Amino acid sequence: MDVMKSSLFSGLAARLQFLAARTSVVAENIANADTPGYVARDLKKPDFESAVRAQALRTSDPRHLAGPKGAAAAQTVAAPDGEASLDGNKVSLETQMMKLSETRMDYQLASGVYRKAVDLIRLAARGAR
Amino acid sequence: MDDLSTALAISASGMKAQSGRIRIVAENLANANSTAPAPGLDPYRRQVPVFSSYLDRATGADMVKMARVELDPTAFSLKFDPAHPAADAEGYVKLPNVNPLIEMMDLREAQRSYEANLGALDQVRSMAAATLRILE
Repeated sequence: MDVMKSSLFSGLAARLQFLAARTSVVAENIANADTPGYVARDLKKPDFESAVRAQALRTSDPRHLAGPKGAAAAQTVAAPDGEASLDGNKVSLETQMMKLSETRMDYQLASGVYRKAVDLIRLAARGAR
Repeated sequence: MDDLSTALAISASGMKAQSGRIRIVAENLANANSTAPAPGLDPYRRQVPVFSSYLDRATGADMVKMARVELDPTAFSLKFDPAHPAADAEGYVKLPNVNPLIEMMDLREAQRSYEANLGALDQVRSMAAATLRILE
């Protein structure tokens, strides 16, 4: 069994990928905070159903396509922050900064769990000292 | 490009656009008293930066740029000063349509947006550092 392909690691990797993608969407919003007519966007949060759907399709023949997998399927949706300003811009810097620090904390949590899991495997490989 | 590097590039484009805006504001403020060189000519006209988002093909992200700089069409104010070299026959001088108060507000807004981009850059940097710590 390939331990790095276990559901724990692939799940955490997908989580990290999603959070990194969300960071770049929020960075787009912040960069365009003064662009007339720009509407803030966000990534659709993955739910259980989409997580199940994102699992690679079972293939019984090497010519079958596996289908999209993981965070690559995360959708960008318009998420305006309240009312538009006079130039039609719908970005609130405060909301975006909040989203950004939220994403960073989630990212640090996921990467911390990943690190701990790697530590466990390391422990199993060389034994407690 | 991975998402974190893309985010860094996006924040950099935001900072570049905002610093360009600060440059335009500085030009306006510096020329707040620049009258015409001779009677009958126009004095300094206030410049207005216009931002627009564009799709960066390399990363597929919406970056921001200063699309163009337009001139403020509002009328010049007149000051009665017959001794001035740029005064017309009635003794009036046209002053630039720059309001230092508005320019300062604009400067503050640009500064705030610049700091927001800088904050985003810092957060992305700490996320990349968290990833690298997995290797430790």
